[in-house]
Amino acid sequence: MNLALLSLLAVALLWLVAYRLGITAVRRSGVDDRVCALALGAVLPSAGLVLSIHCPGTVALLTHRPVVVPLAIVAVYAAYVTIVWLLVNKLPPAADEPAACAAQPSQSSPRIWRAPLLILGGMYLVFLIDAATRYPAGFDSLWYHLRTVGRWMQSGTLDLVPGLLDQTLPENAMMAVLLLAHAGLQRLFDLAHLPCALFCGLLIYALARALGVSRIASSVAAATALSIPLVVFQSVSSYVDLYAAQFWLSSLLALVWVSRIHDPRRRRVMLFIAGLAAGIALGSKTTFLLLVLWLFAAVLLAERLRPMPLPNAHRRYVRSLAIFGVACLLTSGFWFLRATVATGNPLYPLPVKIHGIELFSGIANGPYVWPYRSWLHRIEFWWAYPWFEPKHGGGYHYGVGHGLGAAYAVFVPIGLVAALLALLRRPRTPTAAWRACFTLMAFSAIPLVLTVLMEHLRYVLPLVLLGPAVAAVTIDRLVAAAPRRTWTLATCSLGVTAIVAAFYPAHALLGRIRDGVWTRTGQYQIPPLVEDLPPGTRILNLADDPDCFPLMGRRMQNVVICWQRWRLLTDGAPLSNDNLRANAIDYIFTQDPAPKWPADLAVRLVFNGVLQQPDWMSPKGYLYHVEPPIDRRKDLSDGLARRP
Amino acid sequence: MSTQTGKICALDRLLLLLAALSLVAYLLCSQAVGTFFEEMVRLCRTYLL
Repeated sequence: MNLALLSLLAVALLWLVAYRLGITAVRRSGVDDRVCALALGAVLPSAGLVLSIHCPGTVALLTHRPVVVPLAIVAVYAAYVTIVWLLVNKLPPAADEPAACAAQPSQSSPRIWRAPLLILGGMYLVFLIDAATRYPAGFDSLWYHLRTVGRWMQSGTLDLVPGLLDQTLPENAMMAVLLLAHAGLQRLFDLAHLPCALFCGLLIYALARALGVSRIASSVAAATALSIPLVVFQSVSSYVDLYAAQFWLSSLLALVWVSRIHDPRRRRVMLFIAGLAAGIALGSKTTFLLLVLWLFAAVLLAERLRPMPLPNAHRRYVRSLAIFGVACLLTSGFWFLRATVATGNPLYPLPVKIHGIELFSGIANGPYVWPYRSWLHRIEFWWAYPWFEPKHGGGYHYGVGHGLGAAYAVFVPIGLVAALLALLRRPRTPTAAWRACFTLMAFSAIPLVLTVLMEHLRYVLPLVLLGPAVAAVTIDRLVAAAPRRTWTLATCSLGVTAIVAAFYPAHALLGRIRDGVWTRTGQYQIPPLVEDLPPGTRILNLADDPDCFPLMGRRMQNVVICWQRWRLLTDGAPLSNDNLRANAIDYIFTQDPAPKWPADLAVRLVFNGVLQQPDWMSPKGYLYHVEPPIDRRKDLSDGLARRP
Repeated sequence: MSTQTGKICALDRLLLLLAALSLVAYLLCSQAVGTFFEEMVRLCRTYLL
């Protein structure tokens, strides 16, 4: 067993210990709801894992030494868990904290409500079997998330590449994947975020309960959230949206509890946990620079709704914001520090402009900040999205960025409209105030998707997930009024989504069984040669971006240079022997149409063709070996001749 | 909310009707469901007929 694998096991063990401590910390802070504690308990261990990689990452950033290695991560994580253990032991058990939110007694037997959950379980099982029997997939995952992880693994740092948008983004969600990469467990990459789905289910349940909803209606809301195809597909991918959404929702739930806890010390602990969770989300995706503002607003609401208002109210608001902000920066500040050290702009790659004056330069005019379609097209596309689920381009309509599912279409729109109508009355209780807050947050997804977030539904995933929590109030009403009919609606709609969603992984799995494609090279259609090249072999990838990760090899030992990086390295100069040698390129990979190199380019074709299935749609791949200069070739042949 | 006698009030009936109509609308309009059926038909034609 190698050292990296042992380190991974040690981190997993420490995570479980920290999770237990996290649950204890949450309960001692005054949360007496078991599901809430289980959901919020994940914040402390996850923040610890993030910090354990950020700490050596900071040392590497400042000293240029490769210290982001598994042993260093384990050492920092062990120290973190010890500190958390000491602090949690100092927190006395809560005695006089508020009881769990009042739940209305249900009129229907809970047993029948197991059917929707079983349907959901069956759907996730199909996705799990498919994901466990394949290598990582997904455009963004292969293009940059996993390539970034590979680059960090090779360099022992958490550096960025100025000028390359995809290599400059914060990646808190990839910390667990980095450890898996060190251990050489590529097959498990896409399973790393599966627990996020489970935690999101717990969080939606807990948020619905926080709005005073019954257990059954909260379960239906959680099942509706978990049935969202976008969530299911993301749970078995290396996309980061679900991971970030989990911690955004954790922060919101923690803030709801902040507004209920009497004891100032316990309130501060819960506020700190909320801040840590917000920071994890902020450090996972640039779009959370925007969404985290909603949480800062929720801090103000939590302070407004505190059980015993104190004098110096303004100072209290500032203090709460400061605690939340500091905790938030603890788990996200590394990325701003890294950007500042590397480029001078803490928000890199975003350019910072005020009134047209550029304060910090970034990667300007990127297609990531403003929509490119007309308003008419945007409204035509989105006005009835839950029922129509249109998609740009062809292909399957459910995926990591598309689809809300039947249960969402059935319950959430009417629930949100009902909640909006309820806003006409001024909220008189803290629960009503939180319901109004959640409703406004959920509705804010519409203008965000239509404007700054460039029509990407997954960029507002936390707000999309908040929809079922808000709709739980209406679901509760339906469950109380007509339990059988509501059960039928829930079961049918979840069944429809489960069948349609599970079709894709089932089809892919059956296809792999039919074709016998179980190898890495077979799945990615790359030359087998690249799998076992010596560490540090440099491959220039002139094919599609998602080929970058596959070309890194099964041990992620190859250095893959994508065409954008190549353009930066050569200032856009045409391919030549000089620039190939100047950048120490060993191989060039490209795909159909067959390349037309300059006549004098010293390259030799070493792979030409399709690997297993001639009828597959994948284009033909070509791998060229870059020949050394003639005098170097002579040296090599002399060396071979002299060899006994 | 339903009355204490177990009868469903008009608003609850309306909400249930809207929810049921939403499911019907989803089944008829969702492009994901449409694609699913197209694929199923294609697979059946390929492997069964």
